[in-house]
Amino acid sequence: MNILTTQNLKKQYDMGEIQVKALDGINLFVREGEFLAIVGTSGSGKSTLLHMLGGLDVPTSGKVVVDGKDISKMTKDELTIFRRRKIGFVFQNYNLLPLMNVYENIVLPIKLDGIRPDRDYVEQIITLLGLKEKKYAMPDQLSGGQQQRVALARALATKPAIILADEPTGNLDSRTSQDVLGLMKTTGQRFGQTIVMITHNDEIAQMAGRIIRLEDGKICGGENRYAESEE
Amino acid sequence: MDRYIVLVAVILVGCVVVCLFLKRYYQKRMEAVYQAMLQKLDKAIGGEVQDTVYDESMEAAVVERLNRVVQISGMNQGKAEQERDIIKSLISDISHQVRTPVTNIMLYAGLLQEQDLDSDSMRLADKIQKQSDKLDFFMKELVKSSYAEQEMISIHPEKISVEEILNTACQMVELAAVKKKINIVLEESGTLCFADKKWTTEALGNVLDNAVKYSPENSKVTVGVIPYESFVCIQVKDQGIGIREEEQGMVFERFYRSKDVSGEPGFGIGLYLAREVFSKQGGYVKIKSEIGKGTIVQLYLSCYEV
Repeated sequence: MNILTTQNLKKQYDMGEIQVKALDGINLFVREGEFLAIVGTSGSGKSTLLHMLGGLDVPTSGKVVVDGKDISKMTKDELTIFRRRKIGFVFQNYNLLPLMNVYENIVLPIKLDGIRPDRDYVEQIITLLGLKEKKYAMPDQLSGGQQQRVALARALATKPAIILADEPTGNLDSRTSQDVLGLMKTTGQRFGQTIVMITHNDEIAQMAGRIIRLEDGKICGGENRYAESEE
Repeated sequence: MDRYIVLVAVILVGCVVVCLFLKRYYQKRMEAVYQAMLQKLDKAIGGEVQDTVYDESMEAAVVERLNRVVQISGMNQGKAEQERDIIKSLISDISHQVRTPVTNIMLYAGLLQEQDLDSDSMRLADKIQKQSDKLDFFMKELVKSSYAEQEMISIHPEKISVEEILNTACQMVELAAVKKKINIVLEESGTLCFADKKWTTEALGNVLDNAVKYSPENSKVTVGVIPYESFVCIQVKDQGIGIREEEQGMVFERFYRSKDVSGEPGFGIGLYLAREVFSKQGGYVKIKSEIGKGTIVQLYLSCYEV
């Protein structure tokens, strides 16, 4: 089943006289439980695409369908709640809150939802990601790899169906990158999550089950192989 | 007159205040009920049968129904599993039963060859020997592929040294390597990992077996260990024929065999089994290869209990 699809997705920016096509008719199909990498140089539109998939940005035209729902039709409030419950984000610069400790950062999205955190589950992800000893540390006391692991734990905390990762290892050395990516892959397997990751690094993309190449806002290579099989 | 107005006003205000209080009170209660419901649903999704009290409350009735749903889905799952188990045990029974006569045929064919035979009978005895070798190989693969069925791999990871796994796995392929004059280089390491000894050794053995099988004579296979913060990587590097890029993902699929190697015996089970074993204990498998230059298979194991 396709958990995530886009239909003829377009995004244009007007820069005075010139129109810049950031996305130019993207038809993307993502299967439930797969690990997909979107590769492209900077300016190819891959970040814009990821933002559209997560409802962080509105397309000029076209549809984004997540789990059978067209998110471009949702109101702003609906979108906020949808994002919080369905999607976990991991960013290049971690985006941890500096005044909260590791545990508080991880449970923050659950608390925002007004639900008591499921302690067993949170403990489980903390152990899985090797953060047990750092539970009460502050973000500035952690290394880059550890900070990204906290960010990953936070993304996992709400048990989202989809993890969207924007250059998750962009600020990490290759050794730590391998570690973080490995954890992303294994936790994804364990909790049956779909992962969409963007990167400009082919080596990192190799970790994924499937790779799609983006150039000038168009899919220009890789295996978009579920395209014909459904609908 | 004024008094009445004041009195009515006070009563009205009083009513409004009481109403507001009541509204907040009920709102809070509703929220608490939903909160509790949500937790019960979460538990049901996790497949847990919950404790119920038998009273007239709605809550007890709801929990009762939820438990029914959990039980029904559990029952269906159980039935499917049972049916699968029957077929699986049938397959493994057959393959084990067949292996004994096959081994006997091989033994007798060998004895026959040692007899003083004329050239025609010798030729036939050779053929019997060769064919039964083939049959034996297929039976072994069949047993392996019945292992590869999900539930057959029962993994009990424990803290063990990586070296132990490497040594045993290398012994498994030593003979084949010596035959092809392939040098297996084992790099030293004192790293600990969290893995099931038997299955991990078996999986690594499969990878080494491939390395030896698809490498030319007089080449080198290097087995190294790279420690990371959360993972330990066992890296098997050969100087063999390599795997084409478009096939690098497919070689992990069950029964997949590249047409480049159709001359070599095999079923397409080894790497599939390896990936299953590693992902079941919280690790993963990665491949890098260049046609004609060799292949690097990286097997990642978790460093700590998951």
